[in-house]
Amino acid sequence: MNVNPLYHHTPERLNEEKVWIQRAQKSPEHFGPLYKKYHEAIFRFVYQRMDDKETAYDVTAQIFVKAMHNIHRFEDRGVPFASWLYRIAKSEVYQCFRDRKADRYVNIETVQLVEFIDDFDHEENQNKINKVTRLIKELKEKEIQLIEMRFFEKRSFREIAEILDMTENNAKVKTFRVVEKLKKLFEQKN
Amino acid sequence: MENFKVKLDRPKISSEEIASRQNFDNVLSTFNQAKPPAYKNPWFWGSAGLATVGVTTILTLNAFTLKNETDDKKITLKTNALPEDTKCIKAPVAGEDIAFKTYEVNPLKDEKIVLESGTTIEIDKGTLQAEKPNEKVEIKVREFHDQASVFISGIPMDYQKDAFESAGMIEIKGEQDGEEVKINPEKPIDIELKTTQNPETFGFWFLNQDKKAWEEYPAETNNTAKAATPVSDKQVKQAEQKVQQAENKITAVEQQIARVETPKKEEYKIPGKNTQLFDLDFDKHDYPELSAFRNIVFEVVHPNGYDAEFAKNSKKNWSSVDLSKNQEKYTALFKNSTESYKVQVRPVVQGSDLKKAEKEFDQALASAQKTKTELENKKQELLAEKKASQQALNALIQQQIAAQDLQSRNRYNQLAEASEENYKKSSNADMAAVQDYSNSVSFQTTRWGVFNSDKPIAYPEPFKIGVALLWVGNQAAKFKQLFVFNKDKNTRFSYGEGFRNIDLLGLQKNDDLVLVGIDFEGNIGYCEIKKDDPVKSTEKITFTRKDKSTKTLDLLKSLMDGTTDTV
Repeated sequence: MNVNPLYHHTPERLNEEKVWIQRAQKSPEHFGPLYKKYHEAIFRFVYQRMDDKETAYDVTAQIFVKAMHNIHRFEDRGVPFASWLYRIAKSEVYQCFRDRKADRYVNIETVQLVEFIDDFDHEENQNKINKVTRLIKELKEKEIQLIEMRFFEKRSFREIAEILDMTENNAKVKTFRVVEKLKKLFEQKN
Repeated sequence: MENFKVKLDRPKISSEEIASRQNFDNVLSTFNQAKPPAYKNPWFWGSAGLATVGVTTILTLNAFTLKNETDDKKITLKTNALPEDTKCIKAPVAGEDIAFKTYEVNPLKDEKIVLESGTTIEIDKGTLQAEKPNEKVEIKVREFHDQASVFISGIPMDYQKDAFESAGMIEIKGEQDGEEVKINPEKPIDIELKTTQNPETFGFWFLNQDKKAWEEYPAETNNTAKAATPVSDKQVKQAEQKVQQAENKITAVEQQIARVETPKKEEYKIPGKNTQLFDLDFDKHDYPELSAFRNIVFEVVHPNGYDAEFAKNSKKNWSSVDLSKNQEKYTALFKNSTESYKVQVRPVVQGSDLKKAEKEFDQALASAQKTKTELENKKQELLAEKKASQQALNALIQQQIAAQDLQSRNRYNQLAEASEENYKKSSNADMAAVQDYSNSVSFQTTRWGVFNSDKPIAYPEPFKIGVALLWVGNQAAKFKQLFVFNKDKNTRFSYGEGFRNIDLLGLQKNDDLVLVGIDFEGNIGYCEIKKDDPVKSTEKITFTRKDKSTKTLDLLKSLMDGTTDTV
């Protein structure tokens, strides 16, 4: 499993970020370093879930505006700033689907999918890919979020838990259940 | 049910492309446009915000509390409310003075005034013996926390033979219809004056204006050593610049390192190991660059070091071999009656020339390595310097934030304190913070006037020979009054009319100073003297003439740097 470098910080980096946050809480002009640091990660999070690039850039900008409005509420209580931003991102992305009636996309790289479905069956990969791609569409939003974050965005369970506001163990259990559900569906379709 | 669309292997977007779409200015501008009303803005809840909310809360709760609060919201600043000169207090700069702020209080109620600094003035009912007890009394206040404002006000700062180092000063008056209101001797006014320094090391004084002298005055000090030192934005900016400078230096050194070229053996005409060499006659006039060498042979150039084709061809008989050169590359052309063969070669030296070349190469290599090592060491030093600067910056920012937070919290708590309901709501920790971080002097008064938390500082020794005071352009400056501000000690030394003779001028050598002179025409001159470059006897001090459009107060504040607000 890859490690998200933006999420796993050294104590030095965390301290630096703490200072940035404190400054941003005092004045919006000081939000710049946080924007610079997280812009790409947040954009990728948004773009992962939609198809239109320009809309993704717009939503990303809106997420930062919202974060600036709410940063005074951010308290360093163990939840990293990144997770806090992702929570805003999640909410803004769904707001965008509602407002703009945009389609929710799940963007997957075949390589990731192959890893994910490796133990599904002994069927040929291309067939499995086609089947699972169809099956994913049958998952619920909450289920796809877990699969997406864990397998396509390579996030740790801890990070998933913090973004989705649940315990780490719960994130693990729920993700396992979704994988099992997909397997079951896969076998049924066979 | 199809909830989503699945897309496989969409083309990836590069980090560079995403970075190119970063536009924080745009985000900030959108943020500003979409700003909620000020009271909903989180940044509003800074020092001003908390104070105002505290004030509002107290006003709302007035009906339920014993004390009636008077606050900045109720201040009615009179136009042109500049004080008139008195026998004792004369503003030195014509047209400039520090205005009073006027608070209207009801003499029949308990009143509490909270100033911007957090200084509080409590006036119980029955304290003010007004001619018209049913009408409001105007409480006029000027509070000083910086030398620039004290200077502009004209309040004398000499005590006997010394000058005062001030930690905080307040002037307070009470009037009704322009007439001074008496204070009930049995019910003094309680004042808690915020100070910029630990007041325990300072004395407390009252200005007896009739005697034009400061008198010691009883006061209690409330301080803690934990006071959070305020940090100005300028200090933070300077620290940021230091980090940036270190970064720039690192970039410059990295560029220097990249430019250091490691010498190559080919450049010194040193042959490679186990390469194919052959001798060749050539006319040195055609190749003057080779004429300095005695033992030149030619090495076959081949990426693998060994040219199999050359090895094969070298066994053949050739009737002639011609050397040619094109764009610094040498070519040997072997010919006989039936065929020809071309090979790229390079001249290399042998024998004594080779020894000399090897020596030169070794020296060049050592020199390049030495330069590189030195630059690498320098880079490491700069990295350490950058790290230290970054840590200092972080510490400064944290200190600034802590000081601002505490200031806000202090003010909020002080305002909240008046309301019993709010007081109960205040957490113990918050109240402890007020105790921990407040530097103040508490005193009671039954008379109006100027109260000062100060420490006498001896005047510096006069110059034995004296110094020449000049305007820029070397014209002699004849000052009516000359003031020396010691930036490090927050002290002003006064010379000339009304003070000690200008001939007794002396300057403290180990501190940063600002000199301000006022000539007989009212022109103001100023100059800065740094501790690193003290003025010696027989030297001259050159004054810059103040632009008439510039306010002396603004000029002085900028020269003195990091001053606090004056009420």
